[in-house]
Amino acid sequence: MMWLISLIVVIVIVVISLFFYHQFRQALDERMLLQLSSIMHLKSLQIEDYVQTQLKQFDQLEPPLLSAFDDYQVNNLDSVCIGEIIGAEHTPKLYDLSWCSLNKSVLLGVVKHDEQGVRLHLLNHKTIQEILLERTGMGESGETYLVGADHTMRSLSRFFPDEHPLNLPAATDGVLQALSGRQGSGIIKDYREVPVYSAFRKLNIPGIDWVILSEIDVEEVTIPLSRMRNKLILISIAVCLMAIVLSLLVTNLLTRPLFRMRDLLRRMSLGKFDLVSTPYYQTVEIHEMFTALDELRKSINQAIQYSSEIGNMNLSAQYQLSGQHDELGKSLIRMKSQLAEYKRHEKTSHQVAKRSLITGQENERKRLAREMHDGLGPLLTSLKLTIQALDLDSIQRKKVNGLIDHTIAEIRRVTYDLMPPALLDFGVGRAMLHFVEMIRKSSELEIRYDDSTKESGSAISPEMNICLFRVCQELLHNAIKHSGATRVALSITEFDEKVSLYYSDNGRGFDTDKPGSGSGLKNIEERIAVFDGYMHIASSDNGTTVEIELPIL
Amino acid sequence: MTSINIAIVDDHQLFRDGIHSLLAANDQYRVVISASNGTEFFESLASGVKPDIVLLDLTMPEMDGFEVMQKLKTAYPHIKTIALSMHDDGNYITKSVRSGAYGYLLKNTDEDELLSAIQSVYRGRKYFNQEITGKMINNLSAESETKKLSIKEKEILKMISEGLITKEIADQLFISTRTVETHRVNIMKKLNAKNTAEMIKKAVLTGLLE
Repeated sequence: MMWLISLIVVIVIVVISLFFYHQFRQALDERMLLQLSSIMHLKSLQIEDYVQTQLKQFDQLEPPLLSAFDDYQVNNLDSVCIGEIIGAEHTPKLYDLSWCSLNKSVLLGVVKHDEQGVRLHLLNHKTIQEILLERTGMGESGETYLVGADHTMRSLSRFFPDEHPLNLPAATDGVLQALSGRQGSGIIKDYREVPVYSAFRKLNIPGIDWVILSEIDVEEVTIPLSRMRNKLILISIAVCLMAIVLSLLVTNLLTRPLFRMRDLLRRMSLGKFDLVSTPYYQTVEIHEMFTALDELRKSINQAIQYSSEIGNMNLSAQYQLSGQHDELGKSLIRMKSQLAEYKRHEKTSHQVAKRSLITGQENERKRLAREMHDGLGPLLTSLKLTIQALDLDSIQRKKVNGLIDHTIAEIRRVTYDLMPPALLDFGVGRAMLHFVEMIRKSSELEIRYDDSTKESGSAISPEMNICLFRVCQELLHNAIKHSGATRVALSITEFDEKVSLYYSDNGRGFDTDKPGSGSGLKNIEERIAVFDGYMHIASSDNGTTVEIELPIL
Repeated sequence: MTSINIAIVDDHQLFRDGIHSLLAANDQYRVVISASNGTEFFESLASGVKPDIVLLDLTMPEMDGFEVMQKLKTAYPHIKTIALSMHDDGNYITKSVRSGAYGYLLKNTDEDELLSAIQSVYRGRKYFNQEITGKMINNLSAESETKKLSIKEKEILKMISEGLITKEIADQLFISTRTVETHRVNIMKKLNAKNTAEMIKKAVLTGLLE
């Protein structure tokens, strides 16, 4: 990704560089050619002017007759050659006599036939040469030169100053175009086969088919261009390097955290939420992203912890909703309340079942007690009365009466064990008075009993009375049978909202944690649980205390 | 010598018959009513029969012995009641006495005791044998104490007045602080005190701490 961006940056830079290079080059070309054209025009006008002037001034110059031009040798002229070239005009006419020069110098001659013969005036080629050599604005390699119709030079070459112009062929594109009459400019190869900017035209001199060219080496002109090109290459390289560095930097700042984020998310999707805490990232957005991830992790961890608490049936666990759209949290909370509901329901139904079991048992006992008390009792008393009416001697009567009294006492005892009639008629507080009295008579145990139930308007239900009585029964039974206690304190206190039972003895005590430390204790616990009561047993070598509280509904 | 008119109210026919035949053997006694419950008994009374003494069972269907005694107190105050019950529980004895019984006999009582009870009551004296009296006193004593403060509450009140803190009281009585607090609240309620200071003040004024 980052490399792609780097590549794009490089491509853009290269394209822009090429474009500017091209634009610059084009501008340079146009400007150069324009300059060359104007130089060429200037020079050709000067040359033409000079030639025209020479032509006009022909008569005033009084040129010598060709025949009198005896001394050809002086002028290094081939008279035969000249004779072949010149025509018979009576007006002055220009001729290129270069090829008639014996020392191969460039020669322009004006010829006129008059009554005296042919007159010849040789133009000073040095003047033309000077015009051409004037090189203002031509740089190091610029030159302006002339070429004849035979494609050889008609002026000195700057590059070959010792070479005779006529020996230098110059059949270049520019020369050919100019000879064919077109004036123009362009980048071409010159007579040295070197690429040059060239402006060219044919000189406007009648009788002379010469072309003038102003040229300058491409190489010289494009030195700044190539400098610029080098600079552009350098810049491109610099930019590329920067792009690489930048992409590394970006990788560090963006990609690495993103990869890390990806790994973390992958771990999370596998169910691993024990992530290490987020390192600090320089980039604000990335840091915020990790902070958000951390929050997500915390929220999920909380949910996990909460679920596990619920799984362990710890229904007192609390859950902090992450927001109003925290559906997971809401579901978990719903789940918890459902579980709590089920649990409560289970407890309630368990209590109801237990209670109905106990109630059934107690009802059966009650029924049995009543049958014995109200059924057997009167029968026995009636029997006693009947016997009294019989004619028996006093010893026999006493014996039989004694037996019957004993039987009745036994029935009372059994009845009492099953269900004391006073329990239902007077409540547990009062019933215990009699029960304690019975124990006092039958054992050595010193019992201190305190009844603080309400004498009138007691809110203790019959079931609760039975429950409390059975608990007392069990506790006192234990005290006598197992504890070895000599003193017992027992109190039942009724408040508006609860009944509390307090028991203490000075016996041996027992291990409250040990299971099966008396089924009696378990029995008590179950009975208390039915009424949702509170029970606390503390037992040591010095004795046992039992606290029980039953809420009054 | 006028005979003593006796009513027997008991839901057991056999028992009634037994008593009846027992009393019939003696000219001094005349059984004028034999009813199986309170309602029946009052119907007989309404018809004009006037017993001196009623031998009354306590546990009966329709109308039980206590109700009968309550009603007799206002409607027929001159009829004296001897409760004749299977219950040897002091609570029944106390309640019977409170309801206006002149005597309390267990059903398996001897003939002699029954007759002497009838005689005593007929002469306007109350009859309770030693055993019954013992049970009654025991029951009443417990009752009188609970009306005010229980033994433990008095004990705790005394300890509070002596400046003991809840923890110390709990340790001394082998009870939890929770129970001590409950008792303290209970004492304050009974003495109608709003706070501990007022509770102590009232306790001193009523001589509870002596």
